[in-house]
Amino acid sequence: MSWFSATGPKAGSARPARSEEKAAAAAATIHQSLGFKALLRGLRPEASHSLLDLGPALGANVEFFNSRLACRMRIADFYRSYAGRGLAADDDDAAFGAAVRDILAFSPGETFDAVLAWDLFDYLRRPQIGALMGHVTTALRPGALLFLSLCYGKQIPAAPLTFRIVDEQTLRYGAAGESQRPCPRYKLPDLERQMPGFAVEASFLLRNGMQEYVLVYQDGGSAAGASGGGPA
Amino acid sequence: MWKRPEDTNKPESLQPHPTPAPPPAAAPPPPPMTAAAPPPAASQQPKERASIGSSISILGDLSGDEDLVVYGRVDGKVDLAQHAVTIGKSGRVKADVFGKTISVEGEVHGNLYAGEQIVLRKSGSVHGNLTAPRVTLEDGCKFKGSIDMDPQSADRARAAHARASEPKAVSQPSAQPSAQPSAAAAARVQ
Repeated sequence: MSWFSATGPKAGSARPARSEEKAAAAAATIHQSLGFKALLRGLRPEASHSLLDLGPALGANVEFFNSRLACRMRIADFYRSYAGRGLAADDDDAAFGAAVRDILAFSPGETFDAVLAWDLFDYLRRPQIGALMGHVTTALRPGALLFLSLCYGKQIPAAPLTFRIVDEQTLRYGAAGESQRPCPRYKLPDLERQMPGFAVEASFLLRNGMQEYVLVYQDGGSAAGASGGGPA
Repeated sequence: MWKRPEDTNKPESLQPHPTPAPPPAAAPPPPPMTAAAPPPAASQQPKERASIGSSISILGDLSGDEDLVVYGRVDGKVDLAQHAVTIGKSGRVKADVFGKTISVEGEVHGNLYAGEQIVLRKSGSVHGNLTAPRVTLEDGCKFKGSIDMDPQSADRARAAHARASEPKAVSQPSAQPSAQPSAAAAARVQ
Protein backbone atom coordinates (compact mmCIF):
# COMPACT_ATOMS: atom_id res chain seq x y z
CA MET A 1 0.00 0.00 0.00
CA SER A 2 1.26 3.40 -0.79
CA TRP A 3 0.77 6.44 1.31
CA PHE A 4 0.15 8.18 -1.94
CA SER A 5 -3.53 7.78 -2.43
CA ALA A 6 -5.87 10.56 -3.18
CA THR A 7 -8.10 9.96 -0.24
CA GLY A 8 -5.98 7.81 2.00
CA PRO A 9 -7.07 4.84 4.01
CA LYS A 10 -10.08 5.20 6.17
CA ALA A 11 -9.60 5.63 9.83
CA GLY A 12 -9.41 2.27 11.48
CA SER A 13 -9.27 3.34 15.04
CA ALA A 14 -11.93 2.12 17.41
CA ARG A 15 -12.09 5.59 18.92
CA PRO A 16 -11.32 7.91 16.09
CA ALA A 17 -13.21 10.90 17.41
CA ARG A 18 -10.54 12.19 19.73
CA SER A 19 -7.67 11.79 17.30
CA GLU A 20 -9.72 13.30 14.52
CA GLU A 21 -10.52 16.22 16.70
CA LYS A 22 -6.87 16.65 17.45
CA ALA A 23 -5.94 16.44 13.80
CA ALA A 24 -8.65 18.90 12.90
CA ALA A 25 -7.42 21.23 15.59
CA ALA A 26 -3.91 20.97 14.25
CA ALA A 27 -5.13 21.93 10.82
CA ALA A 28 -6.14 25.41 9.76
CA THR A 29 -4.67 27.05 12.79
CA ILE A 30 -1.70 29.15 13.63
CA HIS A 31 1.16 27.50 15.43
CA GLN A 32 4.48 28.54 16.70
CA SER A 33 7.30 26.96 14.75
CA LEU A 34 10.55 26.77 16.59
CA GLY A 35 11.97 24.59 13.87
CA PHE A 36 11.35 27.18 11.21
CA LYS A 37 12.92 29.79 13.43
CA ALA A 38 15.97 27.57 13.80
CA LEU A 39 16.11 27.11 10.05
CA LEU A 40 16.13 30.86 9.49
CA ARG A 41 18.89 31.27 12.02
CA GLY A 42 20.99 29.07 9.81
CA LEU A 43 20.36 31.23 6.74
CA ARG A 44 22.38 34.38 6.96
CA PRO A 45 20.37 37.31 5.60
CA GLU A 46 23.40 38.91 4.00
CA ALA A 47 24.11 35.84 1.93
CA SER A 48 22.40 34.73 -1.24
CA HIS A 49 20.50 31.51 -0.82
CA SER A 50 18.91 28.88 -2.95
CA LEU A 51 15.91 27.12 -1.46
CA LEU A 52 14.10 24.00 -2.54
CA ASP A 53 10.48 24.01 -1.40
CA LEU A 54 8.91 20.59 -1.76
CA GLY A 55 5.52 22.05 -0.88
CA PRO A 56 3.07 23.95 -3.06
CA ALA A 57 3.50 27.52 -4.23
CA LEU A 58 2.20 29.91 -1.59
CA GLY A 59 2.33 33.63 -2.03
CA ALA A 60 2.90 34.32 1.63
CA ASN A 61 6.00 32.16 1.67
CA VAL A 62 7.41 33.71 -1.46
CA GLU A 63 6.75 37.16 -0.05
CA PHE A 64 8.41 36.23 3.19
CA PHE A 65 11.60 34.99 1.61
CA ASN A 66 11.51 37.84 -0.86
CA SER A 67 11.45 40.34 1.97
CA ARG A 68 14.08 38.65 4.10
CA LEU A 69 16.58 37.05 1.80
CA ALA A 70 17.96 37.64 -1.63
CA CYS A 71 17.23 34.13 -2.67
CA ARG A 72 16.28 31.80 -5.42
CA MET A 73 13.39 29.47 -4.66
CA ARG A 74 12.55 26.33 -6.48
CA ILE A 75 9.01 25.21 -5.81
CA ALA A 76 8.45 21.56 -6.52
CA ASP A 77 4.89 21.02 -5.29
CA PHE A 78 6.00 17.43 -5.03
CA TYR A 79 2.93 15.76 -3.59
CA ARG A 80 0.47 17.24 -6.05
CA SER A 81 2.87 16.67 -8.92
CA TYR A 82 3.19 13.02 -8.02
CA ALA A 83 -0.43 12.42 -7.14
CA GLY A 84 -1.46 14.16 -10.34
CA ARG A 85 0.28 11.51 -12.37
CA GLY A 86 -2.33 8.98 -11.43
CA LEU A 87 0.27 6.67 -10.02
CA ALA A 88 -1.65 5.09 -7.23
CA ALA A 89 -1.33 2.59 -4.49
CA ASP A 90 0.57 -0.13 -6.24
CA ASP A 91 3.48 1.96 -7.43
CA ASP A 92 6.71 0.14 -7.12
CA ASP A 93 9.76 1.92 -5.83
CA ALA A 94 11.39 2.04 -9.25
CA ALA A 95 8.42 3.93 -10.64
CA PHE A 96 8.55 6.27 -7.70
CA GLY A 97 12.24 6.89 -8.24
CA ALA A 98 11.64 7.67 -11.89
CA ALA A 99 8.88 10.08 -10.94
CA VAL A 100 11.15 11.79 -8.43
CA ARG A 101 13.83 12.31 -11.03
CA ASP A 102 11.27 13.69 -13.44
CA ILE A 103 9.51 16.00 -11.00
CA LEU A 104 12.77 17.20 -9.52
CA ALA A 105 14.78 17.43 -12.70
CA PHE A 106 17.57 19.68 -11.50
CA SER A 107 19.40 21.83 -13.96
CA PRO A 108 23.11 21.20 -14.36
CA GLY A 109 24.90 22.95 -11.55
CA GLU A 110 21.71 23.74 -9.67
CA THR A 111 22.35 23.46 -5.94
CA PHE A 112 20.45 24.31 -2.80
CA ASP A 113 21.41 25.29 0.69
CA ALA A 114 18.02 24.71 2.29
CA VAL A 115 15.14 22.31 1.71
CA LEU A 116 11.62 22.82 3.00
CA ALA A 117 9.99 19.40 3.28
CA TRP A 118 7.23 20.47 5.67
CA ASP A 119 5.10 17.38 6.47
CA LEU A 120 5.69 15.56 3.19
CA PHE A 121 7.46 12.61 4.78
CA ASP A 122 4.31 11.61 6.63
CA TYR A 123 2.84 10.84 3.20
CA LEU A 124 5.68 8.67 1.95
CA ARG A 125 6.74 5.16 2.73
CA ARG A 126 10.22 4.68 4.09
CA PRO A 127 11.77 3.59 0.77
CA GLN A 128 10.11 6.54 -0.90
CA ILE A 129 11.68 8.89 1.59
CA GLY A 130 15.03 7.32 0.82
CA ALA A 131 14.53 7.62 -2.92
CA LEU A 132 13.38 11.22 -2.67
CA MET A 133 16.18 12.38 -0.44
CA GLY A 134 18.73 10.33 -2.33
CA HIS A 135 17.88 12.40 -5.37
CA VAL A 136 17.65 15.69 -3.49
CA THR A 137 21.09 15.25 -1.99
CA THR A 138 22.62 15.23 -5.45
CA ALA A 139 21.84 18.96 -5.52
CA LEU A 140 22.63 19.88 -1.93
CA ARG A 141 25.59 21.93 -0.88
CA PRO A 142 27.57 20.76 2.14
CA GLY A 143 25.97 22.24 5.20
CA ALA A 144 22.55 22.51 3.58
CA LEU A 145 19.62 22.55 5.97
CA LEU A 146 16.48 20.44 5.83
CA PHE A 147 13.31 21.48 7.62
CA LEU A 148 10.57 18.92 8.19
CA SER A 149 7.65 18.16 10.46
CA LEU A 150 6.39 14.79 11.62
CA CYS A 151 3.04 14.22 13.23
CA TYR A 152 2.71 12.03 16.29
CA GLY A 153 -1.05 11.85 16.36
CA LYS A 154 -3.00 8.81 15.24
CA GLN A 155 -4.55 10.55 12.28
CA ILE A 156 -3.31 13.05 9.76
CA PRO A 157 -5.15 14.82 6.95
CA ALA A 158 -5.45 12.78 3.79
CA ALA A 159 -3.10 15.13 1.96
CA PRO A 160 -0.22 17.22 3.23
CA LEU A 161 -1.04 20.42 5.04
CA THR A 162 -0.13 23.77 3.62
CA PHE A 163 2.19 25.81 5.79
CA ARG A 164 1.92 29.55 5.31
CA ILE A 165 4.64 31.59 6.92
CA VAL A 166 3.17 34.24 9.20
CA ASP A 167 6.45 35.40 10.63
CA GLU A 168 9.81 33.95 11.44
CA GLN A 169 8.44 31.68 14.14
CA THR A 170 4.79 31.25 13.23
CA LEU A 171 3.12 29.10 10.60
CA ARG A 172 -0.51 28.89 9.58
CA TYR A 173 -1.58 25.33 8.87
CA GLY A 174 -4.15 24.68 6.21
CA ALA A 175 -5.86 21.42 5.27
CA ALA A 176 -7.40 20.71 1.90
CA GLY A 177 -10.27 18.69 3.33
CA GLU A 178 -11.57 16.87 6.32
CA SER A 179 -10.76 13.31 5.27
CA GLN A 180 -7.99 11.66 7.18
CA ARG A 181 -5.61 8.74 7.12
CA PRO A 182 -3.56 6.94 9.73
CA CYS A 183 -0.35 8.62 10.69
CA PRO A 184 2.80 6.56 10.09
CA ARG A 185 4.33 8.01 13.25
CA TYR A 186 7.88 7.87 12.04
CA LYS A 187 10.68 8.15 14.54
CA LEU A 188 13.91 9.92 13.93
CA PRO A 189 15.92 6.70 13.46
CA ASP A 190 13.49 5.77 10.66
CA LEU A 191 14.48 8.90 8.83
CA GLU A 192 18.17 8.74 9.58
CA ARG A 193 18.36 5.31 8.00
CA GLN A 194 16.73 6.66 4.87
CA MET A 195 18.80 9.82 4.71
CA PRO A 196 22.47 9.05 5.18
CA GLY A 197 24.56 12.16 5.46
CA PHE A 198 22.05 14.14 7.49
CA ALA A 199 22.46 14.95 11.16
CA VAL A 200 19.92 16.52 13.44
CA GLU A 201 20.70 20.15 14.13
CA ALA A 202 17.61 20.86 16.21
CA SER A 203 14.29 19.26 17.05
CA PHE A 204 11.21 20.65 18.73
CA LEU A 205 8.12 18.88 19.98
CA LEU A 206 5.16 21.19 19.59
CA ARG A 207 1.95 21.20 21.57
CA ASN A 208 -0.09 20.35 18.53
CA GLY A 209 1.50 16.92 18.22
CA MET A 210 4.00 17.87 15.56
CA GLN A 211 7.70 17.40 15.91
CA GLU A 212 9.85 19.71 13.85
CA TYR A 213 13.38 18.91 12.79
CA VAL A 214 16.18 20.87 11.28
CA LEU A 215 18.81 18.59 9.84
CA VAL A 216 22.10 19.52 8.31
CA TYR A 217 23.57 17.76 5.32
CA GLN A 218 27.13 16.88 6.13
CA ASP A 219 28.05 14.44 3.43
CA GLY A 220 29.33 17.04 1.04
CA GLY A 221 32.00 14.86 -0.55
CA SER A 222 29.68 12.14 -1.76
CA ALA A 223 27.06 14.70 -2.76
CA ALA A 224 29.50 16.50 -4.99
CA GLY A 225 30.53 13.21 -6.52
CA ALA A 226 26.99 12.08 -7.07
CA SER A 227 25.77 15.26 -8.66
CA GLY A 228 28.13 15.01 -11.57
CA GLY A 229 26.48 17.96 -13.21
CA GLY A 230 28.64 20.96 -12.79
CA PRO A 231 28.08 24.17 -14.62
CA ALA A 232 28.61 23.82 -18.30
CA MET B 1 -10.89 51.13 -8.91
CA TRP B 2 -10.62 53.12 -12.11
CA LYS B 3 -8.51 51.36 -14.62
CA ARG B 4 -6.58 48.60 -13.01
CA PRO B 5 -5.12 46.41 -15.75
CA GLU B 6 -6.85 43.27 -14.54
CA ASP B 7 -10.17 45.00 -14.66
CA THR B 8 -9.86 45.96 -18.26
CA ASN B 9 -9.03 42.60 -19.75
CA LYS B 10 -11.90 42.04 -22.09
CA PRO B 11 -11.19 39.46 -24.78
CA GLU B 12 -12.89 41.35 -27.52
CA SER B 13 -10.32 43.17 -29.52
CA LEU B 14 -8.01 41.54 -31.97
CA GLN B 15 -6.36 44.76 -32.94
CA PRO B 16 -4.36 47.27 -31.02
CA HIS B 17 -6.52 49.87 -29.51
CA PRO B 18 -5.60 53.01 -27.69
CA THR B 19 -6.78 53.66 -24.23
CA PRO B 20 -9.67 56.08 -24.56
CA ALA B 21 -8.49 59.60 -24.06
CA PRO B 22 -10.49 62.00 -21.94
CA PRO B 23 -12.77 64.26 -23.89
CA PRO B 24 -10.82 67.33 -24.88
CA ALA B 25 -11.72 70.55 -23.14
CA ALA B 26 -15.17 69.53 -22.08
CA ALA B 27 -15.91 72.27 -19.60
CA PRO B 28 -14.59 75.69 -20.58
CA PRO B 29 -14.56 76.84 -24.14
CA PRO B 30 -11.09 76.89 -25.58
CA PRO B 31 -9.37 80.23 -25.49
CA PRO B 32 -8.77 81.94 -28.76
CA MET B 33 -5.68 80.49 -30.24
CA THR B 34 -3.00 82.85 -31.18
CA ALA B 35 -0.71 80.24 -32.53
CA ALA B 36 -0.93 76.78 -33.90
CA ALA B 37 -1.50 74.23 -31.22
CA PRO B 38 1.53 72.06 -30.71
CA PRO B 39 1.15 68.49 -31.80
CA PRO B 40 0.94 66.04 -28.98
CA ALA B 41 4.33 64.86 -27.97
CA ALA B 42 5.09 61.19 -28.25
CA SER B 43 5.22 60.88 -24.50
CA GLN B 44 1.75 62.34 -24.25
CA GLN B 45 0.16 59.90 -26.63
CA PRO B 46 -2.31 57.56 -25.05
CA LYS B 47 -0.77 54.28 -24.01
CA GLU B 48 -1.70 51.54 -26.41
CA ARG B 49 -2.40 47.95 -25.69
CA ALA B 50 -2.74 45.11 -28.11
CA SER B 51 -4.67 41.98 -27.46
CA ILE B 52 -4.64 38.55 -29.01
CA GLY B 53 -8.14 37.19 -29.06
CA SER B 54 -9.15 33.81 -27.77
CA SER B 55 -9.55 32.34 -31.25
CA ILE B 56 -6.09 33.39 -32.37
CA SER B 57 -3.09 31.06 -32.40
CA ILE B 58 0.36 32.39 -33.08
CA LEU B 59 3.29 30.17 -33.86
CA GLY B 60 6.40 32.30 -33.69
CA ASP B 61 7.93 35.21 -31.88
CA LEU B 62 6.11 38.31 -30.72
CA SER B 63 7.80 41.65 -30.20
CA GLY B 64 6.60 45.20 -30.15
CA ASP B 65 6.36 48.50 -28.38
CA GLU B 66 3.13 48.44 -26.45
CA ASP B 67 1.38 46.47 -23.78
CA LEU B 68 -0.09 43.12 -24.71
CA VAL B 69 -2.92 40.94 -23.48
CA VAL B 70 -3.03 37.33 -24.65
CA TYR B 71 -6.33 35.49 -24.67
CA GLY B 72 -5.36 33.08 -27.40
CA ARG B 73 -2.45 30.73 -27.94
CA VAL B 74 1.15 31.68 -28.47
CA ASP B 75 3.89 29.19 -29.16
CA GLY B 76 7.22 30.92 -29.48
CA LYS B 77 8.72 33.87 -27.65
CA VAL B 78 7.03 37.00 -26.33
CA ASP B 79 9.45 39.88 -26.16
CA LEU B 80 7.97 43.09 -24.78
CA ALA B 81 10.66 43.81 -22.26
CA GLN B 82 9.58 47.42 -21.70
CA HIS B 83 5.87 46.78 -21.48
CA ALA B 84 3.18 45.04 -19.54
CA VAL B 85 2.25 41.55 -20.65
CA THR B 86 -0.93 39.93 -19.44
CA ILE B 87 -1.87 36.33 -20.08
CA GLY B 88 -5.65 36.32 -19.81
CA LYS B 89 -7.70 33.50 -18.37
CA SER B 90 -8.13 31.83 -21.72
CA GLY B 91 -4.54 32.48 -22.74
CA ARG B 92 -2.27 29.52 -23.37
CA VAL B 93 1.35 30.43 -23.88
CA LYS B 94 4.14 28.03 -24.57
CA ALA B 95 7.00 30.45 -24.68
CA ASP B 96 9.52 32.45 -22.78
CA VAL B 97 8.00 35.81 -21.93
CA PHE B 98 9.92 39.05 -21.44
CA GLY B 99 8.10 42.05 -20.03
CA LYS B 100 8.34 44.93 -17.68
CA THR B 101 5.48 43.50 -15.71
CA ILE B 102 3.88 40.14 -16.38
CA SER B 103 0.51 39.04 -15.07
CA VAL B 104 -0.67 35.48 -15.59
CA GLU B 105 -4.29 34.44 -15.35
CA GLY B 106 -4.09 31.62 -17.88
CA GLU B 107 -1.47 28.97 -18.56
CA VAL B 108 2.18 29.41 -19.35
CA HIS B 109 4.74 26.76 -20.12
CA GLY B 110 7.98 28.67 -20.27
CA ASN B 111 10.19 31.04 -18.37
CA LEU B 112 9.05 34.52 -17.39
CA TYR B 113 11.44 37.46 -17.10
CA ALA B 114 10.18 40.80 -15.82
CA GLY B 115 12.09 43.95 -15.09
CA GLU B 116 9.72 44.93 -12.32
CA GLN B 117 7.16 42.36 -11.26
CA ILE B 118 5.51 39.06 -12.02
CA VAL B 119 2.04 38.32 -10.68
CA LEU B 120 0.42 34.90 -10.81
CA ARG B 121 -3.31 35.32 -10.35
CA LYS B 122 -5.32 32.66 -8.61
CA SER B 123 -6.45 31.24 -11.92
CA GLY B 124 -2.94 31.26 -13.31
CA SER B 125 -0.74 28.28 -13.95
CA VAL B 126 2.94 28.44 -14.75
CA HIS B 127 5.35 25.63 -15.40
CA GLY B 128 8.68 27.36 -15.72
CA ASN B 129 11.00 29.74 -13.98
CA LEU B 130 10.22 33.25 -12.81
CA THR B 131 12.87 35.96 -12.74
CA ALA B 132 11.89 39.38 -11.41
CA PRO B 133 12.76 41.65 -8.52
CA ARG B 134 9.28 41.11 -7.18
CA VAL B 135 7.09 38.04 -7.54
CA THR B 136 3.55 37.74 -6.24
CA LEU B 137 1.66 34.45 -6.12
CA GLU B 138 -2.03 34.64 -5.35
CA ASP B 139 -3.51 31.81 -3.36
CA GLY B 140 -4.83 29.15 -5.65
CA CYS B 141 -2.36 29.65 -8.45
CA LYS B 142 -0.44 26.67 -9.76
CA PHE B 143 3.26 27.02 -10.09
CA LYS B 144 6.11 24.63 -10.54
CA GLY B 145 9.56 25.95 -11.14
CA SER B 146 12.09 28.35 -9.74
CA ILE B 147 11.64 31.89 -8.51
CA ASP B 148 14.63 34.14 -8.71
CA MET B 149 13.97 37.36 -6.84
CA ASP B 150 17.50 38.64 -6.77
CA PRO B 151 17.35 42.00 -8.61
CA GLN B 152 20.77 41.34 -10.03
CA SER B 153 19.49 38.14 -11.58
CA ALA B 154 16.74 40.04 -13.32
CA ASP B 155 19.30 42.50 -14.60
CA ARG B 156 21.49 39.69 -15.83
CA ALA B 157 18.54 38.07 -17.55
CA ARG B 158 17.67 41.36 -19.24
CA ALA B 159 21.26 41.88 -20.31
CA ALA B 160 21.55 38.36 -21.64
CA HIS B 161 18.31 38.81 -23.47
CA ALA B 162 19.45 42.12 -24.92
CA ARG B 163 22.67 40.56 -26.14
CA ALA B 164 20.75 37.71 -27.68
CA SER B 165 18.48 40.17 -29.44
CA GLU B 166 21.21 42.41 -30.80
CA PRO B 167 21.95 40.50 -33.99
CA LYS B 168 18.32 40.73 -34.96
CA ALA B 169 18.25 44.48 -34.52
CA VAL B 170 21.22 45.00 -36.82
CA SER B 171 19.63 44.24 -40.11
CA GLN B 172 20.67 45.17 -43.61
CA PRO B 173 19.00 48.36 -44.73
CA SER B 174 16.46 47.53 -47.31
CA ALA B 175 16.74 49.15 -50.66
CA GLN B 176 13.00 48.94 -51.05
CA PRO B 177 11.15 50.46 -48.15
CA SER B 178 7.92 48.95 -49.25
CA ALA B 179 9.21 45.41 -49.15
CA GLN B 180 7.07 43.07 -47.18
CA PRO B 181 8.54 41.61 -44.03
CA SER B 182 9.98 38.22 -44.67
CA ALA B 183 9.16 36.75 -41.31
CA ALA B 184 7.25 33.69 -42.26
CA ALA B 185 6.49 32.58 -38.79
CA ALA B 186 6.98 35.73 -36.82
CA ALA B 187 4.16 38.00 -35.88
CA ARG B 188 5.00 41.52 -34.90
CA VAL B 189 2.60 43.37 -32.70
CA GLN B 190 2.38 46.96 -33.78
